[in-house]
Amino acid sequence: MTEATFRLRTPTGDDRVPAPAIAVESLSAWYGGRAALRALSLDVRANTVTAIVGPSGCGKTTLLRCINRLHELTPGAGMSGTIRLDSRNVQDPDARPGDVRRRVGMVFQRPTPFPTMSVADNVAAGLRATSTPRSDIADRVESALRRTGLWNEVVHRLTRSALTLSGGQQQRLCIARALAMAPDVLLLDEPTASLDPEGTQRIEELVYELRATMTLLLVTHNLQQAARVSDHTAFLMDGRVIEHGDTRTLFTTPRDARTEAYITGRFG
Amino acid sequence: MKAVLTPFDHTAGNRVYARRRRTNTVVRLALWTATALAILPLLAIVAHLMLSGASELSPALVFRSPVPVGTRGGGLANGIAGTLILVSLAALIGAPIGVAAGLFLAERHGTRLARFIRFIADVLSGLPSIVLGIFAWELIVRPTGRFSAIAGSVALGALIIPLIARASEEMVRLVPTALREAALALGFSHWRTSLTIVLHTAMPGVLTAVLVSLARAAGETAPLLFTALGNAYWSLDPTRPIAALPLQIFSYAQSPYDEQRAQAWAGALLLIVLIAIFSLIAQGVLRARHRLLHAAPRRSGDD
Repeated sequence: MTEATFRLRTPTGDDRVPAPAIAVESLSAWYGGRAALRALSLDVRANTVTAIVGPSGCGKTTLLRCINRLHELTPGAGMSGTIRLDSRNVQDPDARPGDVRRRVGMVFQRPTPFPTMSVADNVAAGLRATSTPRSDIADRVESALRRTGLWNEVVHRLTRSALTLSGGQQQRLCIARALAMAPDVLLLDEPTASLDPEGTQRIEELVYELRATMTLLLVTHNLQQAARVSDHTAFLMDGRVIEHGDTRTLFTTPRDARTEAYITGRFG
Repeated sequence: MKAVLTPFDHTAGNRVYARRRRTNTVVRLALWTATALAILPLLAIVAHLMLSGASELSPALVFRSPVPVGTRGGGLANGIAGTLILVSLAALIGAPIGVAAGLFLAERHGTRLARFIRFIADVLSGLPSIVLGIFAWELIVRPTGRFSAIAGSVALGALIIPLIARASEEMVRLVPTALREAALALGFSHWRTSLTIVLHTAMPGVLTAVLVSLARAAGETAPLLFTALGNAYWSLDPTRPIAALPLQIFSYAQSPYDEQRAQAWAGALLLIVLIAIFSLIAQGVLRARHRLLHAAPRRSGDD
């Protein structure tokens, strides 16, 4: 895997940009002796939003962390199986983790702005670690902030500390920070868990629009949210995919009894 | 404690409440007493220094160098300047090494090498400080053939390295893992994450750790005895013997002359003031940090 294959793409506005499909094959992951994923397989179509739902501890977050290779950083953690973005194996020994992570953006459950940096520097942080020309950085910061609807709110305090923003703004700042890298894939780990309804709605609308330029995986505990924004839904339990398919079908006519029990609120 | 309160059981409720108030009063008194006992020696020392040294305090004490015994009007300016030079040079030597070691210990905290280094640091910080003086004497004084401020700074630098390393390790480990992972998820390399995100976020705490250990170094006498040596005259040359407040106190306190003994008290008072200033700066750094993190308007429902 040469560096060119993991090159950054430049954003192209609202035009549809082909993003990679994600193919997860018999992925097992563990923390020490505790298994988190058990031979999980999942095919995610390009330019879709796939919601990952399931009871706590079913491996949703671990799945995301395997895709951008954060999982391997946890002491004692390991994995086997393959994850491909189109035909490229993210675990390829020649693929540097940093290159994979630049293509696969991630947004965490709680906002994680860099506290020592200003609003603008937060968005630019990822780009500054690459060879992006200085003149491009300002443009890409602005376009990322515009896409998250944050631009008008922060345009007068771009140089203020990122911690002066509200929780919802901070989370959108983190999304902007990921978008500035123009990733092919965006992983969202319960991005609205700590937000109020209004902030949640903004992020849901954004997720819906982002399909045009990337493939998204959204971990959520909120089934209404999954129903609102996702094209497909995967239901996980005990580290396995129990059911995966079209969101509407899965929520209206689930094939598996466990899926039905979960979505009707009998457990989890 | 099996008093279960029901909304109607007022008498039982009052009994429980009264007992809790009594317990509260007893514990509070005990804690106040313990605190007072802990502070008392410090207050006694400061009070004694004030009584014995305040009479000697004068502009001359701070701005003039010593004069021959019997002449009036000399001061400890050379010692103050010397201590500041020694501490600054010690910071130049000790802070980069100490902070780098602390960062390493925090980032690799589970590894065998980190455990080994932590053990060494703990042993070093327990070492009698005169041993560090011998170390600097062997390393600098003997090869160069003379006592010097540099030799004193090496001794003090060696003294603060383990202190800074352990304290900054704690500060760096306070940086949430989530922040580190957020940087890595943007494609940052490990070293870039450590230096630009983790260390930067921990910086106010690290600076405080450095200042606190410098305050400790400023009061040390033993490491300087046969390194910086002391100097009765004004000298800022780092390659020459240099005066230091603790050394002056040490020699004046044994002097047969009343005015020198009085100056020793005043010098001790100055030293405490100097150290208090270091501590105040350290606290100021932390408070600035606190303001940055918490006082900023963070309105909810603003988005």
